[in-house]
Parts: sequence; C-alpha cells; structure tokens
Amino acid sequence: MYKLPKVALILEPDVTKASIYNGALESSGYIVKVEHNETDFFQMALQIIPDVLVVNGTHDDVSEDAVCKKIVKHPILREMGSILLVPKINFAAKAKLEKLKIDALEEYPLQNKNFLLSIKQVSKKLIIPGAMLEENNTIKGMMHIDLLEISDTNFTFSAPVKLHNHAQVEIHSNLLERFGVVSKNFEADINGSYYESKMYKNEVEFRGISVEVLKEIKKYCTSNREKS
Amino acid sequence: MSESLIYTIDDDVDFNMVLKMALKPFDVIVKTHSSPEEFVKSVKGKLPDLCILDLNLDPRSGGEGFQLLKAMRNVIGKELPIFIMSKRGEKDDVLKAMDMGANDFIPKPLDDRYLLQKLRTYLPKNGLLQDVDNVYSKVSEKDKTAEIITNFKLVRISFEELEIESEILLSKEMNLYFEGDALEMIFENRRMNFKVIESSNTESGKCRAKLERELSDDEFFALRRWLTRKKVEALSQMKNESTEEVEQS
Repeated sequence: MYKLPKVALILEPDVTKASIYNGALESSGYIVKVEHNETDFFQMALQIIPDVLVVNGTHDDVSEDAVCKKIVKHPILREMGSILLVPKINFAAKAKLEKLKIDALEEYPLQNKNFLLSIKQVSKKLIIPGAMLEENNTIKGMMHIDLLEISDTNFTFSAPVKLHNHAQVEIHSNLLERFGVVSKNFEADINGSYYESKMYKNEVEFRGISVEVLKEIKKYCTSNREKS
Repeated sequence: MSESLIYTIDDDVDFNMVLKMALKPFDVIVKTHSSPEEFVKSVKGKLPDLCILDLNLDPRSGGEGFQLLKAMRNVIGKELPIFIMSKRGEKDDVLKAMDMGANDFIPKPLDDRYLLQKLRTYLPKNGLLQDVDNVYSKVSEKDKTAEIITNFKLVRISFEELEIESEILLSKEMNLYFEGDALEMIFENRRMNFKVIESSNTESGKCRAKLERELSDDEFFALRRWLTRKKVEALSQMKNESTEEVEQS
C-alpha cells in the first residue's frame, strides 16, 4: 500500500523566506503550496485541505489576528493544524494563541529541526479516518475475462472472480454478440470454482434467450466439435 | 445404462467443485470428499467404479495420499482403477504413486478433456461416458476476450483504500475498473481502475474487498476535500446531538 504525503500550506509574502520553508518541508516528504496573500491563501486552503497551515503574520497587509481568527472560525480550517511564525515570542500573545489552539514559532532564528518538529506535531490534528457511504454507493465494476468453452445451454469463463450462485452479471463478448446475445444480464447457474492460481472457472447458463439464438449457438458448437 | 460411480478426495473444496463441474455433462455420479475419514466411510459403504486421490491431502505432511493409496490396494486389491492427482512439478511423487499401484495420474490444474480421455479408458464399457448434446466446445483464441460487468456497493472510503461489498468473490491483486456517481462526486472522475489488496467473505456470504489506487494530485486533493467535509459534517452532527441531550436533560 502506498503512503500518502502530508500537505502543508504556507502564507508568506517574502519569496526568499517562502523558499526556505518550502525546501525544509519538501525534503521531509511534504507536498507544499505557498501563497503570498491572504485571499489566495484561504482559497487554496479550501481547495487542497492541508494538514498544516503555516502563517507568517508579519506582513503589512496581513494582520495575524485577522488570519488566526478566520482560521478558528471556519468549520473546516479549524480542523487543520496551524503554526504562526512570529518575530519574537511574547508570552501574552502565545497564551492568546493557545486559546485559539494555534501554535507559535519564532521566525528568527528558524531552525529546521524545531520547525519540522512543530509541523509534525500540529499536522497530526487533521486525521481523516475514512467515511461510510450511504448515498450514491452503487458502482459498476468491470473486468476482463477469458471465454473458455461454450455449449448450447452454458458457457464457461475463466476470471479472477468467483461468481456466487445467482449472482447477476453482464457479459460482453464478440462471440456472444455474434449470436445476438448483446449486453445480456446473466445469472450464474452454479458456484464458480477454483481453477488455477487465483483464476476461477465459472459456468453461466443461457436464460431467456430465444430458441433461434440457442439453435445458432448449437450449430456453432457442433461445427466447432466436428472441426476439433 | 448404469451410471459409473466415481469417488474423489481432495482437501481443496473448490477443486472438488471443479471436478464435479467438469464431469457434470456425462453419465457419471461423482462423490467428492475432503477428508480421508469421509472417503473411507464411503468406500466401506459402496465400492465405486473408479477413485481419484489427491497426493497432498495435508499441506503440512504431504504424505496422506500415499498412505490412502497403499491402504486401498491392501484392502480392495488391484481391480479398482485409482487415479492420483498431482501438481505438475511433483514428478517423483507421481512415479512413486505409480509404483505403489496407482493406475494413472491427472495433472493439476485440471484439464477436463484429459480427464475425460483417461476415464474413457478405465471405466466399464456399460457405463462408458457418452457425449451428451450440450457438450462444450472450446472457444477459439480470437473469441476469448470478454468483459464481465456487475454492481458493487461502495461501503467506505479513505485516503489509502476503498472498501466494497459484492456478490462475487474477487481475487487479491486483480485489477478492475469502476464506474459510478459516487466516484464522480468524490474524484470528479466517473471511471477509475483499482487493484484488490484484500478480499474476504462476510457472514452473509458477500465479499468485502479493499482496493487501492495510486491517486493523481487532483484526485488526491478532491478526496481530501470530500473526506474533510464528511468529517466536519459528522462533528457538527455530534455537537448538535450533544446539545439536544443537554437541553432535554
């Protein structure tokens, strides 16, 4: 099973600083997106749903309070981990941020090790365990199979699936279409059976097919038998 | 015309089904067994016209087929035809079994025509296998390709996998394509291919399978959006329920 990467979104108006954060995170396996203004940052956040938001609140146009408040008020954004990069940690401000459940980290000197550790800790917040589907949950599955044999009442195919008794399936094949059996719904007559390394031999009965079609199939089978 | 009676023994229940299915169109009665005890009981009850024994009845020891063959020859004598079944790679075992009195061997995986040919040689003339009208004809190579389509229920979805429920049993590591509204709703893509990474039968007889797919960046982000929305919905529902409980109390 392949492991999916964590996603980080950075709000950093300074291109140089942004590339430093980007490099540190990308080398640790994160998918990183960087935005330089508040509007794009929030748009992107809802587009990619990052595990962690990294905000530098020192930009002139962006008030850190406004960004943080917007994050904690939003029903989706507040589920993500957030880190605010500040020039100097002020205890009163930190306590305020803690109330909002946002971490603060000193921007200078930003040590990669501490930065990544903090990112790792806060990005644990967004855990999406999976969801049950109640609506729209019927899907159609398709797989390739090999027709093996045909008689005037049944045909057999080899496939990596085993049909349960009375399973409803559709079989598409040029051979069957030649007899006028097109996209026919078939009901498995008997249980499919284990054949060889994960392949099952399944027998399916022709049902609801006209006598003329059955006669055609019989003719095909007879001539084929004579040839063989 | 009397039908020939064939006893088979193989611990693989699925393979027993294959044998039954292969001999279904012919005038034979096939009784399959999955344990030596059942088999011996049947032989004591009524002697068959032919026996087919699997050599490796117990995967741990692998020798039970030999013991059974030896015991049968000692008790019944040399008249009853006994075939042994073996995987193609076990030639030494086959030779050993022939030395111990087996009449012939049937290689695995089973080739119906080969088995039929052997049975015609050994079964009594009055119970000779007759071709019946619906005997199968082999499909030519060019006509082999076909596609099977069936409905599945999408049960659960997460970043790593998709869980589905079906009426057909899916093999591990098989590839299959899916189509459906649910996929479009989540991935904005109606048709996707997946690989089965786990497959098991439920108590209700349905198959539960886990599937995975390497997601493209767009699909990955689409799934994150959808799952987060689901999570937020679930959280707000939980919050509403707990508020209602507090209000009620």
